Amino acid sequence: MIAVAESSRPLLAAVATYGLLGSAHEFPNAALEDAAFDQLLDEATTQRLTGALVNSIASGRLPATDAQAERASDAHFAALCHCLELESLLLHVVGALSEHSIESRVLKGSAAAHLDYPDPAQRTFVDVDLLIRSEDFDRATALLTSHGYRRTVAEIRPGFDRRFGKGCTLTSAAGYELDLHRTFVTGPFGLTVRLDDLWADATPWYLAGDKKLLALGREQRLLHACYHAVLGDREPRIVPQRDIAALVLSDDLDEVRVRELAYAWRSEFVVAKAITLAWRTLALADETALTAWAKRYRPDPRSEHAFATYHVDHANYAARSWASLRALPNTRSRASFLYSLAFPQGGVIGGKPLPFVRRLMRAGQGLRADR
Amino acid sequence: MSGEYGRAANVLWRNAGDRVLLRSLDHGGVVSLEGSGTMLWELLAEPISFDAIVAAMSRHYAIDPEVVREPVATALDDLKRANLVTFNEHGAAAGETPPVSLTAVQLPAQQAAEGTGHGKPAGPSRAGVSPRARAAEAAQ
Repeated sequence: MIAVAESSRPLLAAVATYGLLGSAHEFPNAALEDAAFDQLLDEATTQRLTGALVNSIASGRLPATDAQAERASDAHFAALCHCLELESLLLHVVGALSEHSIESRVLKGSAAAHLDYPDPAQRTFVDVDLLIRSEDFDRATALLTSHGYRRTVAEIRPGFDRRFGKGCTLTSAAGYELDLHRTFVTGPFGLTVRLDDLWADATPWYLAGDKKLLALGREQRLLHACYHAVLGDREPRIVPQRDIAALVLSDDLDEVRVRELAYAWRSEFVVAKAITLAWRTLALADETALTAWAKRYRPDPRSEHAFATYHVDHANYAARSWASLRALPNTRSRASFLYSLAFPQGGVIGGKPLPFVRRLMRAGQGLRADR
Repeated sequence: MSGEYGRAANVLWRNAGDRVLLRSLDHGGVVSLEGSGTMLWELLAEPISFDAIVAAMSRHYAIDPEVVREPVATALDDLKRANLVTFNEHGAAAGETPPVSLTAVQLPAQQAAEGTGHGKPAGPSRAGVSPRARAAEAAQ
């Protein structure tokens, strides 16, 4: 038996490589002690990696006792039940939107599971993410609200989400979470995504027999996974990195198109950072032209400053808003953005009330001082 | 019985190791198939007659077809009533039936265990079709 490690994250990263060839990660040669295994199982559940954990045990890569294997199987069973409930909700929501001529694209979760993994059971998820066109956003939110969904946070000002926001989170009556996206992330990197590019391609797949759904094109899915991996959480999650590996190692990926999109969206730094992070986390040996480019890439100061607003210790909503202001294309949109933040109506900004402008100016000064 | 069984169109499902999880869009709740139930689901991927199912199960588990017929018929009936499986009589569409709780239906455990030859006997807790009421709770 192997004793408790300080963190099960390195082993979890090894587990996440299930289905990928060429990882240098090693597995223990004997079953973990129960406490260590339970820690691994907890993290696998939190990181939505129960599928990879169960498969790693079943394939013999990760030694486990029968009881441990049973606990992992039970956790995966629960995760998959949740996924099926979410896919039922997904079909209901997409159907309702479609009836009102509102187009959507499924992001992450179910789309990744069905399109980017050989077995959708390996990729679990905890919510539904849908991309909606900016011009349809208010209508989509109103429609779903009329169907019983509730916004978790009120809009800052009418029209803010449609113009500047990432989107909004709704919850169903049963408590399931539905994220409506207009773009990928809040802040400067969300504002420079060329939204038309997101709708330029679509990848179809089918659920429950003949129910057709559309996801982003493969290259756009990779860029989204990159945003998710390095801008989504303070401590990068492993699942989006695993998504990145699956997409980058896919034979059908157009690497030139990926770089063109990243350049056009001013997100080369995000993409390079995410790919190198995924390769390091998963200890992958295989190199592609894209991974070689990512390792060579050196960011410009503006990208570094924008990136810092998502990560540095003093980062807060105001600092990111300041960087967002600089990413907006013209004076009119900057004025409108600033006005919305300064005079919100019923919304919550970064969990704190006004005075906002003062904090925004302070954040701007802080960012300038960092240069 | 002249006709073919198949998976209902309104079903979401996942393979989960030695289980298959099914969720009908027509009513809530996740149903778990285990053991021989997973094989039954595999067989239903394409329209298939009752006799063909019995023959395949009988062959796989090395059990007399007459022993297999009744549990397979009961399992199919349960799945049909839960809107997870359809039965199309030749020349006629299957009618919708109201959902009911699945009841445990098992192949004779001893014979199945002796006959599989796959190392993991299809014992009473794994063979056949069983409801997993805790599935819905676990999903919350």
